[in-house]
Amino acid sequence: MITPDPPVASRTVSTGARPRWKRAAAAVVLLVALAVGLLSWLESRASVRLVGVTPAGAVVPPGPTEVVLTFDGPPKVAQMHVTVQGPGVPSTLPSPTLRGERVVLPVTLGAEGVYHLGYHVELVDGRQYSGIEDFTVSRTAAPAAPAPAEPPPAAAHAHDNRDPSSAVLLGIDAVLIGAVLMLLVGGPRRSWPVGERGEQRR
Amino acid sequence: MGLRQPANGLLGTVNGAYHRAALNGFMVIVLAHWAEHLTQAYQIWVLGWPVPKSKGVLGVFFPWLVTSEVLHYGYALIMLAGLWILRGGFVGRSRTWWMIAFGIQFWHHIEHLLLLIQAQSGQFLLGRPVPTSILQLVLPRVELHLFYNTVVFLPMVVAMYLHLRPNSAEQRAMTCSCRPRELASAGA
Repeated sequence: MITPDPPVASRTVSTGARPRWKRAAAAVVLLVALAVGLLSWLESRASVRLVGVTPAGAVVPPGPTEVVLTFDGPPKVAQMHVTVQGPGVPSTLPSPTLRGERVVLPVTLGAEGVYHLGYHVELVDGRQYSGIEDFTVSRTAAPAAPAPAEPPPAAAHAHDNRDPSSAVLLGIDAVLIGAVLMLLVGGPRRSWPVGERGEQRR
Repeated sequence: MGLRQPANGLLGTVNGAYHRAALNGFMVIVLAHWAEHLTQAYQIWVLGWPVPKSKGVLGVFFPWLVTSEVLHYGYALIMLAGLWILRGGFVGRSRTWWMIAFGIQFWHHIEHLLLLIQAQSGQFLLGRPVPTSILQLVLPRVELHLFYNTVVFLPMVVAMYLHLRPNSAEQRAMTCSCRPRELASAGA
């Protein structure tokens, strides 16, 4: 006996339960995000922070006589190393000194060109700051302003910044990321009612 | 809308039986990149870190990564390759949006190539003191990296949505593993 197909309009496919691994993956992603946020927040409250490297990521006129790492409080330093490489900089430099909230390396930056500043500061609580920053000495640069706490990131193309356009873009991106996550977790449509003319009801 | 002839070989497999898996893998890479940007934003706006120190998660451990033009060019290249390789599975409206994303990413990749060449050669565009992309010449204050990634990501998401929520004509034209199961099982 042949059983006729059910009417087209009533055809649907059972969606079934969402696979367990997808829920687990979503939970893991959420936990990792929360953990990263919490750890970053705890770390930010743990001790003094490095708030500025001068000059770095900037174009400055010839003449700086020191490079400075600025903290938001007097750091308890276990060890510190600062070095500068660039045109005219001697291969052997004096050791940096701690002056209140600043780690200072005396060095004369007179020649035009690109300089590389490397630093590593370890605090007694074990926290470490290290990095390599580039800056350019140029006669066409504007006169140096007082040492900025946050030098503009000009040596490499910038990423996130504090301007409103970045905030708007990140807001849009956050929404789009949410949409992608929903699509990844939800997957393709598993069922749909089909109309008499075979058109999907949307 | 005619049926798209599935490609043979590895490309055909990626755009056929494994399109869904490949698309998921590609999206994980894209989302990981965005996670770094959102972490940077969190460090800047919520934690109040100085911008030069706000380098995301990887940048905290590998600061050179954030300023590496090679890394940024590499990611732009991966994006371009992913968009091109996975295009075959898309049909109809989703393919249009996917190819829009590809077109924008192609230009984005050219901009990164220019930056990479300048960074490697030390010769900067039009005598600028730092590596400069073409759009930076006319829009110096715009956050270009973020802007480019957003305008590539937006059509990608639209394409993804339409690909996973196709209309009936698109459902019939689809040959990949993203095709809704009813049609897949019915062989329509």
